[in-house]
Amino acid sequence: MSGDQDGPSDVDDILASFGTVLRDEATWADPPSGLLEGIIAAREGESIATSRSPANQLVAASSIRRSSPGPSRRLLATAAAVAVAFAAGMFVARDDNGADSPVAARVSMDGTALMPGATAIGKITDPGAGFAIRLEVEGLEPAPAGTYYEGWVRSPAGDVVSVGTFHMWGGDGAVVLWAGVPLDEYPDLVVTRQVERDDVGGRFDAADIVLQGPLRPES
Amino acid sequence: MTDGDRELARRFPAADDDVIRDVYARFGGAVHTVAISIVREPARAADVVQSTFLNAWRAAATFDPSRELGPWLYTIARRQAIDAYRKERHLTVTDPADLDIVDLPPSLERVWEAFQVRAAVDALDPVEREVMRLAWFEDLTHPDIADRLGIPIGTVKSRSHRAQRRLAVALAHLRTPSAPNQSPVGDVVSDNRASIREGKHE
Repeated sequence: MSGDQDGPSDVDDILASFGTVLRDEATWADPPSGLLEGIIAAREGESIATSRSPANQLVAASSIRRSSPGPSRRLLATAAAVAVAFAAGMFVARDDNGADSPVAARVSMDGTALMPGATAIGKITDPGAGFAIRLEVEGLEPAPAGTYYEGWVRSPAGDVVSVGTFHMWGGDGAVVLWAGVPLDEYPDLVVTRQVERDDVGGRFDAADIVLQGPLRPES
Repeated sequence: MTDGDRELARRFPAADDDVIRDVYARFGGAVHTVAISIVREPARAADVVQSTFLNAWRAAATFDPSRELGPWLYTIARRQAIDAYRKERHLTVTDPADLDIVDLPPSLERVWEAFQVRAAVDALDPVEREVMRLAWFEDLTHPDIADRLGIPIGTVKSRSHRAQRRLAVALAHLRTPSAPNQSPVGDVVSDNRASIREGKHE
């Protein structure tokens, strides 16, 4: 911005509009010295560590892995590369949502510190197009404006695949998510709260987890 | 978007140490303003700044360089700060009945405005910035500013005049009545016309 350009004719009015902000201590407060070096050091530490990070680090979306045919209850998973980009809703609309198919697994989810009152129980069926994850969710607050909830299945190594998005605006009730990967390779189910138009799609911060629980194969 | 900000946006996807340092120098203060405005505690605000830049760095490869980097960072900072605010409330509130159904910190419209103001003052040259800080935040007269900075009062007046014009150019869009939602997450910015400028700041 050139310092000698002609400014607006109502300079005084414009700055007066922001007088409260210009007088606020928060506007002028600086972060502590050394914070930048801490950020760079933390990032370098992440780069050295393996991508299979502990739960309190950001995890990247993985590729959907190719799977060979297995026991009769599993579908073949098609191999595809998942771009690290905006998280895509993978909800597949089917008339019955797989409700009449045999139960492949069950899940019981607990709320995290971010949403301590939330719980969910569910069953996973295998109707043919993917694994239908039917949850009965209680205590999960309606997603505030600008945010939404997203389900993920997670491998022991920390790879994650999105299984769909939802909002809970109607209150407690049923949520149906869909997984296109072999769930014995992704045995954890996680729900996070995401921000719309956030460019960190395809991944989440562990601090955003609101519900989590292991998938238990049906015996 | 200024030429400098446009160049930062172009470089950002590379995510090397140099560009992160430059982005931090340009927007670190504004991100901190968002953090401290919401969590209101310096140590947690510093954590929010750190998590914001780490998250931004991790997502750098997906950033569209044709976008404005500042509002994108603001979105990340806002989310990190709100989550930190909520976690603190969950940890300190012992009776769940005391938690609001919609548990949000106040004045998110003001936070967006504060981010823009801080980014604008940080784009001033150091002397202009300090003159603005002393005038607005410490409420000093021009003679007092001249004494504090050890520069002639004429220099204070000319720097003040120039800085105010630059700030007005940078912030005028936030006041445009006909513009749709200004903040990157849909908050409607109200038309603030209340404050009365004092003559000492001319």
